[in-house]
Amino acid sequence: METFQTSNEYSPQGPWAFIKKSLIPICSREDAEFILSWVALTLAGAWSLKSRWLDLMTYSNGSSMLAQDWGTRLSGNDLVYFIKGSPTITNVESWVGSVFILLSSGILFLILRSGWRLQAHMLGQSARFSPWIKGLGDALIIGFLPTILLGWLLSWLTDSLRWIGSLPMMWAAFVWTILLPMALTSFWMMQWSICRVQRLLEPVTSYKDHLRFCFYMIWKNIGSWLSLAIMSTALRVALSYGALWMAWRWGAGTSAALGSVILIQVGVTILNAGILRCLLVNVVHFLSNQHFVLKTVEDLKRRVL
Amino acid sequence: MKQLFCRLLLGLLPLTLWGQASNPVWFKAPLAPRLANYEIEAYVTPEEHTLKGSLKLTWKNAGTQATTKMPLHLYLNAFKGPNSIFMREGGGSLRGDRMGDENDQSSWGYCRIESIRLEGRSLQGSYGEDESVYWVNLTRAVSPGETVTLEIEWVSQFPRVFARTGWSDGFLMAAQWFPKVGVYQGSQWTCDAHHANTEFFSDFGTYAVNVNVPRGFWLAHSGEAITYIDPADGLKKDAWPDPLDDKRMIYKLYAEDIHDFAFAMKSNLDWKRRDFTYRGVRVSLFYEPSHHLMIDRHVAAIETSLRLAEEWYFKYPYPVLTVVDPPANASGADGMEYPTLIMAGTSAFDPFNFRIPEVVTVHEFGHQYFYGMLASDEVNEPWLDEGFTSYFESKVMQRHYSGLLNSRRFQLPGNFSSLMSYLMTPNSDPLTRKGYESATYGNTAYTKPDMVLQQLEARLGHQTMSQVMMTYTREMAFKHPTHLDFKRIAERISGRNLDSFWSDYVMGTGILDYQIEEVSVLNTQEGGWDINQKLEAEFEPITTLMPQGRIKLQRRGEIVSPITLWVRLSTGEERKVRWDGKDRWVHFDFPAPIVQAQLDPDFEYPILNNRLYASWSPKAPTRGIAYWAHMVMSFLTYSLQGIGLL
Repeated sequence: METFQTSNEYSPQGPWAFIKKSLIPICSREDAEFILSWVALTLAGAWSLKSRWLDLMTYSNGSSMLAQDWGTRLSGNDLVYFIKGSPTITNVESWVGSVFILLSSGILFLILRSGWRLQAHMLGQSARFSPWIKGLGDALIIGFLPTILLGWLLSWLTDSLRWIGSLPMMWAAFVWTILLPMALTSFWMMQWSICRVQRLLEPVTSYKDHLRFCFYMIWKNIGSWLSLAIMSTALRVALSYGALWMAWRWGAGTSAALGSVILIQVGVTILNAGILRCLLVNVVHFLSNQHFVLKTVEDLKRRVL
Repeated sequence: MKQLFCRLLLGLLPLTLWGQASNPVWFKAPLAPRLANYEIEAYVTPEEHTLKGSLKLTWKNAGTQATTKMPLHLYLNAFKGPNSIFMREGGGSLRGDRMGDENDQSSWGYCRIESIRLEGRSLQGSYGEDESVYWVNLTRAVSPGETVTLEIEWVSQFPRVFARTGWSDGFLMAAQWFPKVGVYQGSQWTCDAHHANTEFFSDFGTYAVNVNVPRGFWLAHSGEAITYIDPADGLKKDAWPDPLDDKRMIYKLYAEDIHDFAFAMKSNLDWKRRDFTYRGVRVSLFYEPSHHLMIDRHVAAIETSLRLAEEWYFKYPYPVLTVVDPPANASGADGMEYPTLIMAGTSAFDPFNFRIPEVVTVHEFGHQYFYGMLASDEVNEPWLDEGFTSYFESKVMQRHYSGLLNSRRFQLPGNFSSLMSYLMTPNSDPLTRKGYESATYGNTAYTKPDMVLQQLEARLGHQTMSQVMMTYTREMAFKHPTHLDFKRIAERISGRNLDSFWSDYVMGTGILDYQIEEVSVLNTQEGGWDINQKLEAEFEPITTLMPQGRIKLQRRGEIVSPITLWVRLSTGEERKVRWDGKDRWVHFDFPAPIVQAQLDPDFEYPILNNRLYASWSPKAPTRGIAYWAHMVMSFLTYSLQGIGLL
């Protein structure tokens, strides 16, 4: 049973205790870098896709008119003509284009890197590559299999819901089927975050102790971490798919509608990036608290002895 | 075994009594030539996956020559072992379903003939191409017009279902389960081995079938169950008590003018049933309890199919139709048609409202016409049943459902799956290729014919095509049509010669592919030396005239067809020109630059291979592309944000 104490700063506290603190926006360079990377991924990715598709339609100083009505309605048949007709479209890579792949991969790396820089900056340290990549290895070792098992257990719940056979339960099971893998990945990402931040907070003297500690930090508070992962994922997904739904409703019959779609997309990306930033910060607060309590206890012990 | 056949003979007794007492009559006059009539006694042991049976086959020689041999299909022998033609061709899988553990004997099946008698004399025979065909040596020649009765006893062992027939846990799909005679036409038998892809071909007749099963099982079957009023509770029952065993019961089934008979059985504890009548047809729907949310959709699809088939072809003549939703672990039995019985599976939930349950139900119902009543040779001309049914399915989906998916921004027309499949392999085998010889069976049997029939409709016009289809179905119902029958009727109704259409699309492998290759502006000038009538040379200053437009078209495919080009000029004028389409390249000049161009603007060619480059504009349609690029990227980004990429 984890504790939710917030009043006693000398007792170890669960991850929910730091949410309020993590929500306080700090407009550091690292914060901005993290959020803007997400915006860049969204806009640059869409731009490069658009460019690629326009390329495939372009010929003889002009372009095919196939996409003339796509702003309001895209027919599956048009999509088949597009995929079949363009000469270089026989595989996904040529369909999305190498620019998209390179650009998106680069920005994705930037997002991961800036998240790490943000955490390191909070601890007043430089964001070295070594703890970041080694933390990933740690998380794979101690987090991968337990997360899979946890997922198996929770997906069993989904199946039970499905077998009830009523429409609301079917919908619940459907939403859960989408949410669960995302939430579990998010949960595993938190494990990775703990592993790498722990490496910054304390040099690894015994690898076994390091793994045990990181594992313990998650599984001692499994209810809190899992609920945090599920709820924050649900919030992000609700924002995201809400925005997609609105964009779906609006279409792009006019330039103003298209502009609104892009604005909403950017707005939701910023909000979601803010939530992710909050989780990153939360991990740092949580581990700092753990270290503070442990250090205080050790000091007390030393003084008593 | 002897005991068993004694039981079967005793079992025949009530059938005979019932037959005398209340012989049902579906049709006052036969709709079909009843050449192969069966009286069958079947005893099913579900736990052993076996069926032991005896049958009387009354067969009439409708050929022009006498015959001393008679081939029987023993389809279940296709599952006897890895060396059957079926297993060698299919490698133990069909339509995505894989056979069970090959080292488990219950994965395999067979049909073993115990005895065959004609006029009291035992007959011998030998296997044909493989053991799925058995040639019986008759003791004498059967003359044209003569009728003979064979008595056959056999045992069927069902495989684990992956290819239409077999068992899965408590479910049994009994299809191709009894020895069935081939088709004799002229002086020739048609009785092909059971091949991996292809289906069946047989003659019409009457079926009186008694199926003896343990109590507690429901039977979903071809034909009609003969019911009785149970004196114990006063209720109407369709399963009769077995006079010899109170733990078993007998379904007494009957059908006229059909050419196959199948049934599915499952415990009534975990199977649901809904009965309703629509346009005089008694429909029984058997489904999985967990699929109850989908059943209204099945019902609507069946009603729609019955209504539209009546409107387009003719009224469904049988009094019954049974629809089965097989369990998930018996998906190999799904998506299959038998006379008056269709296997139309579904899922428990369909959040995106894809029309999969409707597509399967409508398609399998369509087979009641194109296979059931227009009994073409499914082995040698599979497109006549699958292709025509796909065409029916596309039309129903478009007419009644506005497509396979009709969402606000993205729509899948009714012919989407056919178009997609066809365009990915447009130059597949000719439609007339034998099913088991075709390397592109799915395309050649299903999707290409659908596109070809749509092309024919575009060529003939909707009204004429409707008339062609109605005439073809009415004239060829309860016969064995070939593609030449269809061509003959289409030519007669339309008054057109369809030789080139047939050679291009039905017998050919070419594609129809035209595109706009280049659009350019010609800057023309005039002036220079002019020699007048007096032979005096005068120099006119060089002047630039109004620029002209030029468009270059290309024929990329083998099929030659006249095609229309529409252009809008910079002056606002619109023009249409017709190109005979014969040359590989052609160019057309216009008095002003072209600002928009489109090939085949009136959609004369649904089968046109490339519509991407069949239109041209100097300005790219950026907004629509940008919208979808943002939608796709949003989905990707949001998914990454969903997983909490940290």
